[in-house]
Amino acid sequence: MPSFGDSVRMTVHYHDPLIQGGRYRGEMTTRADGYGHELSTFGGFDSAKVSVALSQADLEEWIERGLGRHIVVYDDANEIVFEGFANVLNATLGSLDYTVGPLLDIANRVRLVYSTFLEGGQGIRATTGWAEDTASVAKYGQFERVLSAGGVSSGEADQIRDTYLAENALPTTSRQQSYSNDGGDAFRLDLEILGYVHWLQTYTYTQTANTGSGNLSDQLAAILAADPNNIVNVDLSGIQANTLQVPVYENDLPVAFDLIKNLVARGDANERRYGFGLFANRQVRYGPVSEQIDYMQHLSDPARQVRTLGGQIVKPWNVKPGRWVFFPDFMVGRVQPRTALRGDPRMLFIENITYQAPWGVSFNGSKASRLDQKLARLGLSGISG
Amino acid sequence: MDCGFSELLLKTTDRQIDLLALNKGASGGIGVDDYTPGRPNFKGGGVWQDGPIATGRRPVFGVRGNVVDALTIKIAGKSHRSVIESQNALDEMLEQAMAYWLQDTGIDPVWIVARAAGETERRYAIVYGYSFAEYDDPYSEPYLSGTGHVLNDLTLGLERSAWQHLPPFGMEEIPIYNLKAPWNSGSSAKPETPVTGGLYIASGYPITDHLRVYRYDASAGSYTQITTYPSTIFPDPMGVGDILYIRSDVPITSLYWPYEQGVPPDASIWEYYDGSNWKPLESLRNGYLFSIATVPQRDTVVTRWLMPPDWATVAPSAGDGLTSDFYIRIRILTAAAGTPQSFASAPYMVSQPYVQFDGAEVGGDLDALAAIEIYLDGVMVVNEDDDPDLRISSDFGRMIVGARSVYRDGPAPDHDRFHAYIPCNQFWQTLYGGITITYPSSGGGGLTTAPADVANSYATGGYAARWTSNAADTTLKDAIWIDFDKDAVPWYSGTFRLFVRAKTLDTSTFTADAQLRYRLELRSPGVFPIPFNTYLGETISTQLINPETTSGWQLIDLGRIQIPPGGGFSNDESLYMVRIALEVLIEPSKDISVNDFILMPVDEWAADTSADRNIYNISTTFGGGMDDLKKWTIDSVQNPKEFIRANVFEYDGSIGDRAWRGVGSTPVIANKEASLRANTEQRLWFLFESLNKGNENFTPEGRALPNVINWANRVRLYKLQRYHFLRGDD
Repeated sequence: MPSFGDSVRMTVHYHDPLIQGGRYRGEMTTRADGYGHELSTFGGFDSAKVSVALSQADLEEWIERGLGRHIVVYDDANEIVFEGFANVLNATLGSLDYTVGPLLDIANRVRLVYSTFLEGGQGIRATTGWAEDTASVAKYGQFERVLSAGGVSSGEADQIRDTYLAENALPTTSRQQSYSNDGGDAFRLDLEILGYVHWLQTYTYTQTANTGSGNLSDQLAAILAADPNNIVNVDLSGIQANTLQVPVYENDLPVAFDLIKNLVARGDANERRYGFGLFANRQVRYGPVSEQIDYMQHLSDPARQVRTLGGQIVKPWNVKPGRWVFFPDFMVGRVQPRTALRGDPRMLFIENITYQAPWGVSFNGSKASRLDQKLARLGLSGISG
Repeated sequence: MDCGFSELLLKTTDRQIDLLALNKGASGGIGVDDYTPGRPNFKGGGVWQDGPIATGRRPVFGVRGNVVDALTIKIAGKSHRSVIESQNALDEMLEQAMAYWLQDTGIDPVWIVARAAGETERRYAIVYGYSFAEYDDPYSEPYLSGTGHVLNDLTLGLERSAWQHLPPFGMEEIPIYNLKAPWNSGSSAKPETPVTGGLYIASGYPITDHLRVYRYDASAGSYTQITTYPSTIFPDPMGVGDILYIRSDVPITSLYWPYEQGVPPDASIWEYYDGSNWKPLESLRNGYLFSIATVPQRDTVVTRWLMPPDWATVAPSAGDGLTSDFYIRIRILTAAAGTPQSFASAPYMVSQPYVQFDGAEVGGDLDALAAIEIYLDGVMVVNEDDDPDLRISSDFGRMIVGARSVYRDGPAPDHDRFHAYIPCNQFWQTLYGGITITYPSSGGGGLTTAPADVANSYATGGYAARWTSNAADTTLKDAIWIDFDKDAVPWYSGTFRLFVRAKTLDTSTFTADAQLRYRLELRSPGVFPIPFNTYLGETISTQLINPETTSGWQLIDLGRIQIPPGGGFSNDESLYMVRIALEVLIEPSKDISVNDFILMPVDEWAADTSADRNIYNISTTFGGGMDDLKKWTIDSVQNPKEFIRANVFEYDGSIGDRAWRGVGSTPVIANKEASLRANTEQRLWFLFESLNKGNENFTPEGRALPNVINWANRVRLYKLQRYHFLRGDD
């Protein structure tokens, strides 16, 4: 009789922060009692959570060195299904809860945009130079922050900037000690992990050498290439061409994340929606979202498997956002086939996917409207009615 | 073995407690009144998918939990003190069992040794923890009486592993073999007999059906084909001008030599033919085997060299049977007296990179834990001191392993039809059948009409497919496709990681990365095979490389692939055919040559380990010559605290019995413990990748790196069998 072992499964691994070289540290699957991640049409690998039971010594080591650690999750085929960094560490040591982070709250390179008041109520806009905490930058990477203030002098602006830098150059920590009788939980670590798309919040983008307009996809590539932390993979070939013309001049210190989000929201000349994300090895993928049926799921299937249109089973962790799901046994005989998928009630466009180990997956659908692209191109964030 | 009274021991390295001492009639110690063994069941019963509007439910996922045995024990002794001593010893052992897991201070584990009456073999299980909630009342009778079993009805729970056939850290080597080696179906012996001690395999193959060896006696002017073994390598007595010819119908870069010691020539030279002259094989240091009398550490060696780019065919003596082929020769420059060295058996080249074991070799009724050793030995090739550039292929830095049961291919004679490596050449199709590889001549522009010749070193007819993009290509085009006919589909059913080994021959700079993607089609058979189900892989962008040697290829990972693509058909139905098409988009007029498709199985067990490319250069860590022998292991046996690990060991003969010492570890990505199916004929497929020379131009991650396909390494396989319950005589 042949033997039958365990199912093949996912594994979670961690490295030093990429800023510190990314050296492999170990595998944490066997100690993890919970794992889940979220993938998004904008963002790609968006966020994840993992809970691990640890010894006190290991927990303290994580508190000391764990913030920003590179976390990689592999699926049953040993392919990367999530990759990110430890943004927040929630450590529980009995009755003591100790939190480190968020990493993204660090500001170790700061400047202040301010205005001075002149007589008559006139203000003059000015900007301080960058002030930087080099030790923090070396350890955590460069986290830029542009502050704003009004009615201050040049000297006061520098003081505000420097004080802010001093207060925010290192990650915040918080402690909560409870004196309840139950003693609290045992030693455990809850990691809040963010995908590397969120590192695009760490720098601003400035481009004053050229004016005029350029292809949106070129602008996108230029912003990503400006990443001072070298987190984004230099291979930008995953950006599909989009010839929609956008201004290339940027001198208002916009945060790269916001700039990209705005660019992606514009879609293309045909108002098609585009998806954007950083995926395995921080490689960027940018292109129009799917306009075909990618998956199907039968309501009457007891296994509730997600399948390709050809019937191939897609494991929960391999379902991707920005795609359409078709429910073949929903509203049978009530709906005429329609060209536009978004008009068919049997279709769901996957905006976000939430996966929870070992086998839970849920989709958050959206309307896939063209209005958002139109508004973005008009520079509007929304309308009311 | 005495199969009489049962055994049940708690044991650690230096002591043991017999839990059945009282049952055997001892006057003191521990006895078991009742024993309820646990079973390694799925955690929570497994994960089931259910739905209120669906009929029934079905399992979709399962991993096994620990086992908890419940024992009702008693502790007795002649005196109070002896009872207390027994109780203390038990507590100490149980504390140690958990301390092994809780602390990292050199504590040995505790395990159970068990055998039922009449059971031939012992079973072992490592203890994870225990529950021992309460003691008996020491102040009540009969404890105070001092007679009889005085601590009674103690309930002990032991949380343990599944039963295994050896104590912790123990493992046994499995005889392994390699079947139907197509490269030496001529006169050479095949390594089809299971062996221990290691089998040499390479991450690829020369597509050759002949590997022949000839001896030339200069004094007699005669050629002799060596067909029986053992046989001297050179004529006896040897003389200046005597030659050993090694013949292959395609270029090869490694050979395994079963070797017997003897007298080497005082001086010899390795040569290849460049089309007009015999030239020194400079990538070989000097032919280690033929330059010293003794080979340390083993009696077999592997010879490797770099592929000479101008290696050409030659017919050294057609009248004597040495007709046109690729030859390497070793020519004596200065002879020596005495019996020459010998071949113990035929030299061979294991080129389908798998090792196989018979179903009977792994017993038990759970998957056995496994350990794999890869030896980087016998590397006697590269004069690194003289020419660092030649260091390119002396080693590898990444190893991928995938297991697949042979029975999945179907009943005999099809039971071994799956081959992970599908070369892009006609030889493969002819040999194995069921597969058709198509190289379109139109439609994508610039396609070759036959297996294309790749560089001068590949023989006429070619052994790789080449695609050249035309100027109009702006989207992915079909460069090459493989059709599995309806008989072959079951052989290849399963889930895999799909790789291709490719390169460009273009030495000019590419301004953009190449894009590759696979397309999987389920197609109806018949005259008009129309695709009705397709599945597209992710598009992979990669900078194509032009390796420095013709034997170097770029390993490109195309991701997970599941065959057949549709879930509506089973293997039994066989009503369809499957196509894997490689779609490519590269710059106009640039080329890509594809050596092979590789389907690495991932659905039984798979692991992928490589040196941390972010930190150090693998070439400084592995490889080298006989003097710095190393081995690389993937192991789920010898460190119970980690479910799998990969370690590097270095051989140091100067330290006696502790000749192997650990020098480092490498990250290993694995979808479960290294495990082998019990009672199942299974193959472990290997893929090696070289990560060294030339990496300077590549980012640490996301780039494929040069892969030298023919370099052989020695593999050994070990097992730790496991059982649900009784072991019997297994």
